[in-house]
Amino acid sequence: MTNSIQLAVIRHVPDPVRDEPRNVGVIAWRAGEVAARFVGEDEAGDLDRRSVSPRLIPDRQTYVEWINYWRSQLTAQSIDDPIRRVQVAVGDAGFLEAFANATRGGFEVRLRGEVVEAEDRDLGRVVRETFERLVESADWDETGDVGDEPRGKAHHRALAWNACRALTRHHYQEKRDFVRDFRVTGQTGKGNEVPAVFDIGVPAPVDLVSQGELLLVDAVSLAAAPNQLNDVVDRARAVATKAQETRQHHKKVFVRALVSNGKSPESEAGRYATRILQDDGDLELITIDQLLKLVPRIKQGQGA
Amino acid sequence: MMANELICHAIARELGLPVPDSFPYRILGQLPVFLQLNFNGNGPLLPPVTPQQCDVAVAEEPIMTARIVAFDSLIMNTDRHAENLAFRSKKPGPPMLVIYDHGHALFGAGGLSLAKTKFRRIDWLGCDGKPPARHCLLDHLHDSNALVDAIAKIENLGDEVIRDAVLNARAYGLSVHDAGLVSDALRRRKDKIRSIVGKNRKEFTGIAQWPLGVSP
Repeated sequence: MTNSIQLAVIRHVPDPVRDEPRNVGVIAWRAGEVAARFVGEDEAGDLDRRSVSPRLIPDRQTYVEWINYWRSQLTAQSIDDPIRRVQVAVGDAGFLEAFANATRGGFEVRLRGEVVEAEDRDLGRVVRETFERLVESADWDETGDVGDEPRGKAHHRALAWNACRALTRHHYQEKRDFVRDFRVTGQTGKGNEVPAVFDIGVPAPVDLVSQGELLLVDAVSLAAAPNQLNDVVDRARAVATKAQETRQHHKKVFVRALVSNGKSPESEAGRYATRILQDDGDLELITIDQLLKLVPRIKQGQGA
Repeated sequence: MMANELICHAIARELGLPVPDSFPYRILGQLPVFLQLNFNGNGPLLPPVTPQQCDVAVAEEPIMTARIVAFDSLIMNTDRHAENLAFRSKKPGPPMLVIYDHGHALFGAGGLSLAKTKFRRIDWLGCDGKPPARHCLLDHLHDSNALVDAIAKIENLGDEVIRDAVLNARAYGLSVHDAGLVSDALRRRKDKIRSIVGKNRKEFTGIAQWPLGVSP
C-alpha cells in the first residue's frame, strides 16, 4: 500500500437536478508527493481559460478560481480539512480525503483506483495517462462521465471509498454511524468460526428504536476489461461465500453487495458476477443511492 | 441550530452586511429548514478564500471586512473560516464578498449546553483562537479607523432589532428561556463591544496603531 499510487478524478456537476457529472481533472497521490492536472491546463501546468469549453463548465470564472485554490493547496503541500478541522500534509495517507472534503459546491473528488507496486512510476506520467483516458476523451456532451465504473484491480476499494464519502456527505460519521473494514465472525458449513471483513458495516444500537441490527456491505465492481473477467468473478465468489458464512453466525444481519450503478450487470463480467452474488450469496445488489436510503432504515430499526 | 441562523441573518441584514437572501421554510411533519439562495447565480460555490485573498479583500473592502469581524465578535461566531466567506476581487471582477453559515454562532452547534459557557465570557472576542476556528479576516485587518466605525455601527444597533430577531426565532421553535438568554447575551455584548475589542487588541495582529477610543 505504501508504494501504491492513489488516483482520483475531479468531477463537475453543473446542474444537481440533471446530475450529469463531467470529469475535469485528475489527481494522483503517493505518500509524500502529489500531482494533478485540470481541464484548461497544458502539460506544463499553464492555464488557458479560453480552452475551457463553456459547454463543459458553464461558469468558467468560478472554475478558474477553484483551480487556483487547488493549486495553492498542492503547492503548499498541505490542505485544511474542513470536516476533520485539521491541516493534512501531503505525506499523510488522508491527504486525498482531505482534498475531497475541501472540494464542494458543484465539484467533487472521486477515488478512481490504485496503481499497485508503483514505486518506480513517475507520478506526473500517471496523471498524464489518466487525464488522457478519463478527461480528454470524455464525451461530456452526451453522458457526462466516461469511466463511471472504476477500472483496475482496486475497483471495489474505490467503490467502497466513494460510498463512504457519500455517507459522510449525508452527515453520517465514520466510526459512529458506519465503520470501514468492518470485522465480524462467520461460520463455515461445518460449524467452524472464521473471520470476515466487510468494506462497510452499519451497526444500529440495541435500544427502544432499533434492535441491534447490522448492515454489512461489500463492494463489487462489475465492470472489467475482458482480460479482467476472472478478477470480477473471483471477487463475487468471495463476497457470496462471506455473506453466507456471516449469516450462519449472525441472525440480525443484512448483507448487501454494492455495485456502481444499475447498468453494471450488462457487461459479461457483470452478468456472471451478478448470478454468483444472487444464486450463491443470496445477495441483493444495491447502488450508492440505495445504500443512502437503506442506512436510516437500519438506524431506525426498520430492517432492510 | 435554526435559531442561530435566523437571529444572525436578521442582525446582519440590519447592519448592511453581505449575506445571501435566506428565509425559513416549514415542511409539514418535519423540522423547519433555513433556505439560502445561491449568491453565485447558477454557478457553483466559490472555493475557500486563501490568506492572500483575505489581504486583497481587506484592501478592497476595508469598511465591510471590519464590520464582518465586529459582527462575528458580537454573535460569537467561531466558524468564520475560509469556507464561510466568498470573495472575488474587483480585478478582474465582478467583485463579490459574501458571508454565510452562522450555525456555530450564538448557541453554537451544540445548542444550549455550550452556550451557557459562551454567554458568560463577556470579555471574549468570540471569533479568535487558532485556525481553522480563528476568523479568517482577523489577522488581515489593518485599518483601525474602519474597525472603530464598525464598532460604532454595532453600538448603534437598536435593542428592538435584537428583540425582533429573537422573536422571529421563537416563531420557529426557540424556547422562552433560550430566547431570554440569547437576548441578554447579545445586548450585553453590543453595549460592551468597544471594551471587548479593546481588551483583545493583541488578536488584531495587523493593526499597528489604535485610536484613543479603543483602550485595552
